[in-house]
Amino acid sequence: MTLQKPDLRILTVWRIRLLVTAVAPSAVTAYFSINRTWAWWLFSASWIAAFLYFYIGYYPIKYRKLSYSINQTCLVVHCGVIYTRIKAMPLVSIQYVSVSSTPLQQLFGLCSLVVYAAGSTLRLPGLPLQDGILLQGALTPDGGSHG
Amino acid sequence: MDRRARAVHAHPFSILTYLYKFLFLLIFPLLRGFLSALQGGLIRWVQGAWLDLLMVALILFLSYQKWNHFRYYFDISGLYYTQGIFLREQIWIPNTRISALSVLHPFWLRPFRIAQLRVDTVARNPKKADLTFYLRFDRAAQVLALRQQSVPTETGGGYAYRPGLQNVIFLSLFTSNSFIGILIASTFISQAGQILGQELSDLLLSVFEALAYRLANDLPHLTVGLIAFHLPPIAAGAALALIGGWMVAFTMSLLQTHGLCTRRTAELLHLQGGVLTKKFYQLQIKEISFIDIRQSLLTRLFRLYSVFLDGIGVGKEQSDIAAVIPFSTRKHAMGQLDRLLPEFQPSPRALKPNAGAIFKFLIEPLWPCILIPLASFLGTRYLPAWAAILQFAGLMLSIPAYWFLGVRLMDFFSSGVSKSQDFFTLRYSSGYYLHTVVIPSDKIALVNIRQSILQRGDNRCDLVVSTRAEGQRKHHIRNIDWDATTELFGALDCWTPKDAGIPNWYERLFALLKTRFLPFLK
Repeated sequence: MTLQKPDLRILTVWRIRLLVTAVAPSAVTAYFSINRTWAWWLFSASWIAAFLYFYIGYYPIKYRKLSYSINQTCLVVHCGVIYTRIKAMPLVSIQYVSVSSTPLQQLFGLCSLVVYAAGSTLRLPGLPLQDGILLQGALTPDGGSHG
Repeated sequence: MDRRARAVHAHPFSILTYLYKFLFLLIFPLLRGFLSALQGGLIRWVQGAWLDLLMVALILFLSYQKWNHFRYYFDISGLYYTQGIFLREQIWIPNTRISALSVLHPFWLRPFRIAQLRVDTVARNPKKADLTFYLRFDRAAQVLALRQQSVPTETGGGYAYRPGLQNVIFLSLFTSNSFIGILIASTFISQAGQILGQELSDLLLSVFEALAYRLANDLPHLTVGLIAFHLPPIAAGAALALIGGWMVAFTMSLLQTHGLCTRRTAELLHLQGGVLTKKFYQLQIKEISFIDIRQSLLTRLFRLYSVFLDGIGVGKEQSDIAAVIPFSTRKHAMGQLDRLLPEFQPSPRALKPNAGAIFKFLIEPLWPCILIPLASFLGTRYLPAWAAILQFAGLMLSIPAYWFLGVRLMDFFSSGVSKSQDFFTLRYSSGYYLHTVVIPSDKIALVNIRQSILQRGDNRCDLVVSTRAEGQRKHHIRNIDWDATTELFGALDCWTPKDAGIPNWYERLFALLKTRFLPFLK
């Protein structure tokens, strides 16, 4: 199997999740905005910087580096933001595979593939649901799944 | 007759061990007592004592029922058992699926001829045995014999290795941990106080205090002038606790491994040993995750080797035997390994860190090696009243820091990876130990090859291998070649960094600007 990329919509999912997370600190900032002390500035600047870092930097790089393939012996996942990583899980070690999706992922028709081995777990986010089910069938030791 | 009809009860001693499962029911007498205390009625509490007695009776009854509903039957093909009072379970574990079968004879149960049987498979909770129960000595021996019959064996009982006492003493010497000893000793003192009276606990503590003061005052005299300064009592107390803790840990370790004997038959490895608790383990060779040839800095300098095992059902408890070959010379250790586990032979390293990687190995221990003496020097200069204690603390803290530096230096010269047939050999350090690990390729759960920004220049990477066992074990090898590593572990595909990503919105915008406007600007 040649190199595959997860669906680009996963980037939108991550960004929406980030926006939802940002509601809490922005509410705090708004609530205390009448009395702007140095602590208020520091807090607001910190979370805005963190938000921009994740929105513009971290998630796009994460997506850019994320890819996967299956060769004769391993499921290979390329990932990492600060570190460049290759994770290889031997097919013989795989115990079972689960396909999971959060409500937000469901909205975009996406899922995450979680591959369980005795002693380790590998997570592959942002697959279209059909691809996820197909991969689950291909990676499960007995070859059978609901796919 | 079917297995169900042949199944028998465990030893009635099990009823006592089941009691703790129902101790939560004591919450009701506790709540009643609390309410009675609030309402201030002793007579009322006494009047309701029947409820407390009823709860105690219920706990005893449920424990009995749990024992009554647990039945087992073991034959040449596997273990069948039923359990559960309300939720009934019938479980059949084929012998081929039992990774480790252990029989333990704790000293307090030996007079009653009761043994503990532990059954481990690759499934279920990695931190405890899949099934544990108590049975008579003769039944336990029967189970072990049946188990041995179930797998092909050689005639003549295979090869057996019984290390000498000095090897076991060496093992205990180099693997004893002071802090575990302190923990055991402090638990002993506190429990002794609760059981035998507070006076005993106080007496032990006052003896310790007196010893610490004596050590503090007489150190130059006790060391025949080798150490010329007097210690502050608190430092002497800490040193005494560490030495005492180490001695306790050493004694415990020696009692756990004394009489160690390892025997190899065709498909099984038999381990036995221990004084306080006699242990017998049977492990399937194919379920051994890896062997670990472990060395400390001192044993590396003395060229002593010890071989440990990791597999399903091994080393789950602190008191378990994990060493198959205690400390001995390289020739002796490798010779024994060749006879006991010929499959697990370390191969010469093929990938190793480059010369420039020495800084990566030394950076972590280098900081404490510089900062601790510096802090001690500055402290003694600016706080002369605390000079003695700061000097002592600086010296004591510097020893582990420099020790760690030595380990990392050794690691730099010896770490690496290789593959021979279907076995990988990984050489690395973790904490204060140097490891040479031999792993069958089918026991590798995950290979994580990672590259930091600093490693990109010379295309190096760190390798973290997770092994397939019940618990997660990771092996970290530093700064080896990226391409050779991916090739060695078969983690290759058509990937190249330049085509890995699909452009993001700002990249697309930039590309658009470049194609639309840059030609125009030109």
